Amino acid sequence: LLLTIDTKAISVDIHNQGPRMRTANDRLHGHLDLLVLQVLAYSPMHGWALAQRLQTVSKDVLRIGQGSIYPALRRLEAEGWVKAEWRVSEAGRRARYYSLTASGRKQLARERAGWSEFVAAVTRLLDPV
Amino acid sequence: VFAKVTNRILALLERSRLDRELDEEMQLHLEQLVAELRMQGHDAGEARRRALRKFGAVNTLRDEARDARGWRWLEVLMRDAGYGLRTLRKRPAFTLVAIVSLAIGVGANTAIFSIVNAILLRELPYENPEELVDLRLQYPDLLFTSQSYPDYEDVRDGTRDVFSGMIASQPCLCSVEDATGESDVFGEVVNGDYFSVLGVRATLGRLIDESDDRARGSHPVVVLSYAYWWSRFGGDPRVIGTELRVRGRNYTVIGVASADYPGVMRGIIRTSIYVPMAMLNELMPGNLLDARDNHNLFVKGRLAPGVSAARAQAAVTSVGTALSEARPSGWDAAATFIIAPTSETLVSPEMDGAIRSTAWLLMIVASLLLLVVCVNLAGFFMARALDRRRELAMRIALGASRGSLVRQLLTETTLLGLIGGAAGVVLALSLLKVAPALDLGLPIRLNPDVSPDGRVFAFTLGISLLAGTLLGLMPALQSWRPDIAATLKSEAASGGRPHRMRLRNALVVAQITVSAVLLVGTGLFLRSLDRQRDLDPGFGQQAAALLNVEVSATQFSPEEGRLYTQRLRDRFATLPGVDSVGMINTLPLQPGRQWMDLRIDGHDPPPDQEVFHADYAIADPGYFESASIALLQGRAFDTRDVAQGERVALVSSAMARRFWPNGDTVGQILHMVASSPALPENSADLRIIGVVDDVVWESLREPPRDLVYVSYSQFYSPFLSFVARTSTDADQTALAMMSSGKEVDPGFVAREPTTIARYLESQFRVAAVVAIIFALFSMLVLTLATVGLYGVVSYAVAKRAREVGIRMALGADASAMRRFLTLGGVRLVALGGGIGLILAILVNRLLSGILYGITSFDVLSFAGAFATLGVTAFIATYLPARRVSEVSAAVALRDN
Repeated sequence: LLLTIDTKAISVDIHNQGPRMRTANDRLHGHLDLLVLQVLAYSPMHGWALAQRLQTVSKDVLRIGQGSIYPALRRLEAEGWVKAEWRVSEAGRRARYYSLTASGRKQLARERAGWSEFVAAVTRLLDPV
Repeated sequence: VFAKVTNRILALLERSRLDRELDEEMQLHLEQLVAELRMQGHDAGEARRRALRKFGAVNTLRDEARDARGWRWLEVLMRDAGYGLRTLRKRPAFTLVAIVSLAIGVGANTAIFSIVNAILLRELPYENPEELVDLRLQYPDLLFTSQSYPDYEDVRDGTRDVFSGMIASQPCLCSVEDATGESDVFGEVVNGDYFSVLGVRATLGRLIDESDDRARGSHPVVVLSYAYWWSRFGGDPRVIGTELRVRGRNYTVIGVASADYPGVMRGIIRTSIYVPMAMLNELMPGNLLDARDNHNLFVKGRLAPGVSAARAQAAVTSVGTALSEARPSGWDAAATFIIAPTSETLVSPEMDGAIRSTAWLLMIVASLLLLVVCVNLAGFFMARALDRRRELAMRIALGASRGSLVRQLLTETTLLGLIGGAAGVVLALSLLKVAPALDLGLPIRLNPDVSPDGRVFAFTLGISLLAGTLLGLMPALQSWRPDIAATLKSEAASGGRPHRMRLRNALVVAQITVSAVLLVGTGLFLRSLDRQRDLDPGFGQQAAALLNVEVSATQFSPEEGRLYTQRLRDRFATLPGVDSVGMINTLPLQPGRQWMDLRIDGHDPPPDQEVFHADYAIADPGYFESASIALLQGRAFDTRDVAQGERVALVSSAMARRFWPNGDTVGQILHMVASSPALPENSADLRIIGVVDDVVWESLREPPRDLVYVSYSQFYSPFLSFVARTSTDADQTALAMMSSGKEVDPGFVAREPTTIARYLESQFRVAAVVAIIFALFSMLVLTLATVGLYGVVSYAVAKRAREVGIRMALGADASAMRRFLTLGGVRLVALGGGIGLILAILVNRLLSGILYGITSFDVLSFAGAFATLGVTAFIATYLPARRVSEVSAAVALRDN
C-alpha cells in the first residue's frame, strides 16, 4: 500500500513539474542552490554578504566552510540562473555582485515547488493515511 | 541554449581571467573574515587561522568552483557517452548493423563529395585567380576552348596594355622512357611566362622561364611535377641536371614545381612534366608553332591592375577584327576571341554542364541513401524505445528529467553517427583508391586529386553528426511524453498505442517512396544505355584491330611519311588473320573536329553563312573495307588517285541525298574554299568519285551528317588510325601491330592498341558507370527499405500473436491469417509505391536531358521498378506473417 501511494505521489509530481527537474543526484547541491537562489531573489549581493546572510538562516548549510558558496555560484552561473558583474562595494572595494536572471527566477519557482512536493511526499510516507 | 553554449566556450577561452577573478573574490572574502575576527579581538595570526577554517579548504573550493563553471557539461557528456557506449555494447548485433549501414551511407557521401570537391569546389591553384581569364575562340556554330600558337602570339602582342601577362599551354601525351620501357605521361608544353604569370614556385631547381622559350628547338629542358618527381624519382634531389628521354629526345631536368600545383587542367588531369613552348615542333608532329588552324593551346591572361573584363574583351575583339581583315592563312573570318573568367570554367564550356549535373545528381542520390539509412535505423531505435518504455518511465519516476533522457538518447545516437562516420571515412578512402582504376573510356585517363582535405572532413563530420542527431531525434520525439503512470501500472509494456506505430509506418512509407524513385531512375538509365548500345554506328561491324600512329613531322616530309606508312601497312597486312588494313586521320567518334568550307554548284549556302561546312577525314583506299563501311555508288579510292592527279572525294550517303537527291552524285564537283582549316592545299576542286554509307561522327545519337572523305595520297596527316580487319582475335592483332611496328621502325610511336568493339564500348563507359552507381544505390536503398518493412510487420505480428492464437483456436485457417497479417504491410507498400510513382514521374523528368531513346515515362522502366519493389515487399511482409501463423495456438496463448 505504501509503495503504490509513493509511486502515485511522485508521478503526480512529475506531471506538474514541466521539463526541467533536477536529478536525484543533485539533491545535495540543490539544497544549497535553492537557498542561494532564494537569497539572491531579494537583492543582488556579493559573495561575502551572501555567506553572512546564509549563516543567519542556517549554521548548517555552510558547515563545510563559507567558501563553498563559490563553487555553488559558479555552478548557478554556468546554468544561466545567476549572473555576476563587478561593482564597487559599500566598503569601496571592487566586488563581484550576483543577481538572479529570468531563468533563475523560474528555476527558483520550480525548486520551491519541487521542495514542497518532496516535503509533502516525505510527510505522507512517514505518516500514511 | 545558444547563449549558454557561447558562455561555456568563452569560459574555456577566458579561463585565466576567470581564475584571477575567482582568486580576487575569495581573497576579498578571506580579508573580510580576518577583519571581522580581528575586531572580535583575535591577533593577526589567530584571525588568519580561524578565517581559513571558517572559509574551508581554499584550494579544493577553487577547483570545485572552476569545475562548476566550465567543465560540468563535459562531465555530463562523458557520463552520457559512457552510458551510450554501454547501451550500444549490450546489443552488439544491432550496433554492428547500425555502424555498417551508417558507414555505407556516410562513406558513399564522403566518396562522392571528395570527387565533387576535387572537381567543382577546390580553389584554383593559381595566385590571385580572380584576375585570370580564359581566352577562347568562337565560331558561329562552335566554341573552342583552345586556340593556335599564332593566334596566341597575335593576342599576346595586341593586348599588352590590358593583360599584365599571358600563358599558353599545349597538352600533350608524352611517351617517356624509363628503365621499364615507355610510358605515356600527361605533359604541358608551356610558354616562358607560364610559371611566373600563374605564380607557381619551384620546390627544387628552377622553373621554365623566358630564356627557355626563345630559339625554337634549342632548349630541351623539362620541369617535373612534384607528384611525378616522387613517383618516378622517389623525390631524389640529384635528379636536377639528369636527362629524361621524352618522345625520343633527351631533355635536361631543370627543376620540380611546387607540390600544390597540379597543372592547367584544374587537377582533373594532373600534369607530370612541363616542356618549353619552343620545343613544341620537336615534341609533336605537324608544324604546330606556325599552323593557325590547329586549336590546341589553352590560353589564359592575367588582367592588369584596374582593367575591367569589358575593356579586356574589347582589346581581344579588336585583335580578332584585325586578323579578319588581314586574312592570314588558316584564320576563319567568322571567328572571334572571347574571354571568360577562369574561375567559371571547369574543363570547357561544352563539358561543364554535363559534369556539373552528373556531380549534383550523384550527390542527391548519395544523400537520399544516407537519409534512408537514418530513417531505417530510427525505426529500430523507435522500436527499442517502445520496448524500453517501462525502463524510461521508471527512470523519470526516480527523478530523471525528460531532457536528460532525450540528451542521453541523442548522445548515444550521435556517438553511433560518429563511429559510423569514422568507418565511413575508411570506406570512402578505399573506394577512392579504387576509383582511378575505373576506365571511363575517355581519351585521357582522369586522375583528379580526390584525397580528402579539410572541407571533406568537415562535410563528413557534419553529415555524421546530422545523421546521429536525426537518428536520435525521431525516437526522442516519440518518447517525449510517455504516459508514466499508465506504463508503470500496466504489467506488460507491450500495449503500444496506435499513434506510436504511425510515425514508424510513415518512415517505412518514406523508404519505399525513395526506393521507388531510385529504382525507376535505374531502370531509365539501364534502358537508355541499352538503346544506345543498339544504335548502329555505321562502321566496325566486323572485328578489327585499332592502333593510333604518329608519324614524326621533323623526321619525315609528307612524301616520306606516306612511304613510311606504306611500309607499316604492308607489314600489318602480313599479320596472321588480317584480311584488310586501312588508315584514317580521324576515326568516327574521336574528339576534336575538322571541317572544310565548300561551294557547291546549284546550291546556295544557308542565309547566315557564306559557304557550306562539311566535316572531313583523310582516308586511304583500305579504310572503308577494313572499317566495314559499304560503298553505295561509284568507286572507293585506289592507286589511280595519285598526288598530282585530279583531287577526288567520297561523300556520305546523307550528303549525297541532301545535294543530289536524284542520285547523280558521282562526278559532281565540290569547290573547296580558301581558309578551310587544317587542309594545307587551300583552294581546290574535289571530284566526287563515290558515295559511302553513313557513319556516326561526333556522337552516337546524332543523325547522319555531311561528311567528305579525301584521299591520303592527296592530303597528308601525321596522325593516323590504322584499322585492321581480322578473322582472328582482334586484341591479339592490335598487340601484334604494336610490336611489328617496332620491327619496321624502332622509333615507331603508337598508342592505344585496341579493337573497334572496345572502342565503341568505351563510348558508353561514362553512362555505364553512372548507371551502375545508380543501380548500386537503389539496391542499397531497397534493401534498407525491405529490412524496415520486415521490422514493422514482424513487430505488428508479434503484438498480434495472442489475437492470432485465439482466432486460430476458434477455427480461422492459416492462409486467411496470413492475409490478415500481411495486410498492414501491403498497405504501407501500396502507399509508398503510390507516392513513389508520382515522385518518380516528377523527379525523373530531370533526367530527360541525359536519357537517350526513351522518354522519362518509359513504361518498361516503371514496370520493372515496381515489379522489383512489389516482389521484395511481398517477401518482406510474407515471411514474418508466415512465421506467426505457423505458431501453434496453444503456444501463442500460453506465452501471453
